[in-house]
Amino acid sequence: MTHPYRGRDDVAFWRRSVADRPWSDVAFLHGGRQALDETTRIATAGSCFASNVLRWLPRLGLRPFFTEVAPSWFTADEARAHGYGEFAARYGNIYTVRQLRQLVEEALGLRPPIEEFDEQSGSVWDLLRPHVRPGGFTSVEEARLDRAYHLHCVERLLRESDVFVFTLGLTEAWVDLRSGVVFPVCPGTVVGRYEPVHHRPVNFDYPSVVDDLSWIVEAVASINPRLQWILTVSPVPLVATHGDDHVVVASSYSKSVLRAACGAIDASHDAVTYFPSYEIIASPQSFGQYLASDLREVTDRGIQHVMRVFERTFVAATASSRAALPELDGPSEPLEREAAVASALAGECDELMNDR
Amino acid sequence: MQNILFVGHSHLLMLIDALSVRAGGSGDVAPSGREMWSDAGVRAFDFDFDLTAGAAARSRSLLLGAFAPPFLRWDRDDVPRIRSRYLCAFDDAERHLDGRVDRVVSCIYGNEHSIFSLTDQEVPFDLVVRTGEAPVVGAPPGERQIIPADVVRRELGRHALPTAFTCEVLRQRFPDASIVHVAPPPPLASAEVIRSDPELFADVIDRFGLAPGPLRRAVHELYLEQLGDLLRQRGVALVPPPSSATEAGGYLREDLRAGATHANRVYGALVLDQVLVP
Repeated sequence: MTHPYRGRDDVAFWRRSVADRPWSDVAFLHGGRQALDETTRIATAGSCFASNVLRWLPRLGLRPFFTEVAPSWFTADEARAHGYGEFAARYGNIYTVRQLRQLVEEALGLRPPIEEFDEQSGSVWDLLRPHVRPGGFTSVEEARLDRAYHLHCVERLLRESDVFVFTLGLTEAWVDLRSGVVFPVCPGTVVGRYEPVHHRPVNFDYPSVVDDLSWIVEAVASINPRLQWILTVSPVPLVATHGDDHVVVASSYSKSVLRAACGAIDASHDAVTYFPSYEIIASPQSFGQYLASDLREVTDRGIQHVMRVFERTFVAATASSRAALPELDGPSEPLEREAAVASALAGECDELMNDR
Repeated sequence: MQNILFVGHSHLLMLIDALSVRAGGSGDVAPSGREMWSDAGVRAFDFDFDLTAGAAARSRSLLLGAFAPPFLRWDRDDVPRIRSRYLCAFDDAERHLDGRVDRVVSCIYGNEHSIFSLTDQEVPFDLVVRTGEAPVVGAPPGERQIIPADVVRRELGRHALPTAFTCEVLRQRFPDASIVHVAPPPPLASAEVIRSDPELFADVIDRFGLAPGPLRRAVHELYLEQLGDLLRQRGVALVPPPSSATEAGGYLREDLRAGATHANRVYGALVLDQVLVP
């Protein structure tokens, strides 16, 4: 008797590919759609979890692509303090798909540059990039010019990248009702002032996330048809919800919407591949082994697992000079521990401000 | 009699020729800048002249070649010591000046700001120097990277440290003398004039292009701010560029130039008017 399941690969079967093997051996993806090597220009963006991807790329023999770089005479601390090196350009954390769409619209000249600047005590803050200038800009004009240069770099990034790894973080956000601009964090939590009349919470639903993602992929394809997308969903739950549900329930909704949207876009766009970092970390079958003591953050061991699967899936065998990833069964051993700790402390997720 | 010791690199050339004129000479005494580019030694020039009617001055100028090593070396025990060639030169100068140095005029180094700003950076930049001011270059939005002025100040301060440190050595060696440091001349406005005599910068100018005049001017100003602060901390006064030596915008008058980044003996005479006080 024949049926459609006969002859399928083992990975299609729970018993064969999950039940009888260690979690670290589960083959989440087999056969990547592209072979990344040291010549591939890889851009990254997304939520706090996304910055982990960028940090690991050199260890895999890959080259993160930066279009907005600090001058060589900046100290490392200065570069970090001014938002350089965290992502491909100085956009900081991009938590929602709508936020990325906004940025792409600006960069491609499809909307005027967004000038959400707040002036306080003589300093001017870019509410869409609260961490790019310690102490704020000296004037609106300076903030405007900095943003204009940044958008020029983003346009170049979209035009010249080979691969764009985007980590989707949240569906919840705050919007200015007057302009429709979506902020990375609620004004007043990091910088700016919360104005209840103008600032409203929004929770993007499945149709709007799919629509935004689809728009982004197609808009960028119009200037860079060869760009390949790798979408992931951050497994890190919400710090706080602005809705009425328990934060666990709100997180579940958010991640479900994002995961479903990624699946839809992966299925409908050849240039898109979904990478299951969410499943690796958050599946119940992982027994929470990669959760930190707050049951929210991901341990370095978890990130190692994710990047090992990433390597197996996407990295060409010829990618050279990479340090071997530590064995998962060994003790958690983040490379460059001091730098990693310092970086984690310095690059604290804006979303954490929602709980202060 | 006032005994004055001048010490410096290429920016001392203008003072040597100006001193020569003061002393009744031709004003054509100093070697050329080009000659000093490959020099590693110390040359001495002596001039006696009148400060004012009835007040005389004796001077020695110690001209250091571009490759002359720093004043200090670290011995095997990591103790900083003045190199023997400078010990000898200072001792000899002091003997020439009747055993007493009343004033030290430093023209040490002086092109650090040019190294930073004569040509555009790999990624051309702009900055706002003070709150409320317009950007220095004012290029169309998106063309230039916006750099915080504080970071530029920090970097220029780093460039100024060797000068400040060297003046501190002079302070230690001549504790009873008043010490002043002559600010390098302001930049020239005209790109054409700079390119006509680019000194050692021809290759980098060709490769990276000249930075816009306003940026070169702003960096010079910021450099003098940082240098002045560092010198003040060490009890050394900074002698600013003579106000009559600049044209509109604060650039060096073209008739006072010597090459792309130096000034001539006429400028040197204006500086001497500032430093040679009875």
